[in-house]
Amino acid sequence: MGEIVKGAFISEPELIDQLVSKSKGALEYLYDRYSSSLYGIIYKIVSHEAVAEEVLQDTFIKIWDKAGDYDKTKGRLFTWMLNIARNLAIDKLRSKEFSKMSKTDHGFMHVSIEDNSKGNKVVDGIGMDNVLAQLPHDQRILIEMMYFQGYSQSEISDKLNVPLGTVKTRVRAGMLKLREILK
Amino acid sequence: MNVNEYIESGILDVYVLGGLSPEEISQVENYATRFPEISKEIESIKSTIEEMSSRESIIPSYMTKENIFNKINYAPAPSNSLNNSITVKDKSSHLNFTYLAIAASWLLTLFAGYLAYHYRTQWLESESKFLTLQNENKEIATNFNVTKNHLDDVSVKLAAINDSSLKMITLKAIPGKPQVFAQILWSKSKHQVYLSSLSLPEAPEGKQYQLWAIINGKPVDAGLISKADKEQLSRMKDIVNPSAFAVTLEKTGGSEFPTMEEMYVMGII
Repeated sequence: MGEIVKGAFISEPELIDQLVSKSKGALEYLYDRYSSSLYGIIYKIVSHEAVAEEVLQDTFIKIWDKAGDYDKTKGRLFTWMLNIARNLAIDKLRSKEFSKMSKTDHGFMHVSIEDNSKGNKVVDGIGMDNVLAQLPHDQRILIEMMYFQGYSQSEISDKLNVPLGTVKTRVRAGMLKLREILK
Repeated sequence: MNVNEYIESGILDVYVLGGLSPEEISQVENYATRFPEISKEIESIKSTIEEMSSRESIIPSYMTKENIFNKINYAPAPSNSLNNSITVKDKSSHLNFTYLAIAASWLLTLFAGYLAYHYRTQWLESESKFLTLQNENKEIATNFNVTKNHLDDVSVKLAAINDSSLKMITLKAIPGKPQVFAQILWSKSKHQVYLSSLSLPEAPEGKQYQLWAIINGKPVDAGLISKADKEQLSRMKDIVNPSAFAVTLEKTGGSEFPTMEEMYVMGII
């Protein structure tokens, strides 16, 4: 059983093997490398420090428990981890426990969509906004509702009263612009 | 099907962002296996999302890592080999068993001794590491507080300087006194008073400089000047509507009324 040396590079298949065989070093490697990226996304979704840390813990526990389910034909390991983090965060955001706890007006539950088209209350957190803020507002709001608040394209189409085709083309335009910005 | 049109429709972006229904998802995944352009585009979109999240990462508190590693379930440890060896030898002759038992108990004693020593060493080592870390942590916290206080101080001063009603008043030497001067910043709207620079001779033992504001012809105490105040922008007492400022030399702790003969500098607004 090969131990993982701190700072050393390790290939993804090797990492998965180690993770499946419950090597603590493999999880530590993932944590050191990706925890801050995952935490950034989670925080963006739940905008609450203690909750975000709880979700990050659940994320790594799930990665540890479910490493065997990871299917490399479906994408990179980081994408898989990112999806776990995002899904757990959105689940948390929609849980009763969370809406009870958050008395302040953050999260999508309390801010009506009409407000969003004028201001940008929902998304004035920290971090991600630096990149996303560079998008035109109509594109940004769609990407955020979809990725950070977990709305489907048809829900967005209904709520914002925008045709389904337009939702798609705006998301596309926004994602292309992001790609340009992040180059 | 026109692959380009399909890509440009934005459905793949919505797919990656998680906005499709299960049926739509399987349709996209089906196309992705058939058209390499489609799977390639999905990859690019995924990279954009990955790039965005790594660009905006936030470091979680160090406790989080510890919590995770305390919570995960490790694989079961390999079974105990000592138990096995004893049950196997159980079948051999009585004499053999006695020897074996003696040998085993010796071994066990040695082994236990070794373990005790080993864990004690490790424990001592961890404890000293823990203490070092704790001290480091304290030191960082102290440094942080010092820096924070300093920053708070600077922020307050910066806010004062940005005040548009801020006036700079130069206090000039009184005839017959040494050629010294002082400078006061006074905010008309917020009434704050700052001592910005001062070139007075060192106050003699038992004496201290005191700042006065003249309001309606009467001197009002505007605060004592300590040695440290000479080196930085110092906030004095708030003053409303002064017509002048002056500095006198008083006994340490200040006076109720200024000693006029000991007035060094004065400036009229």
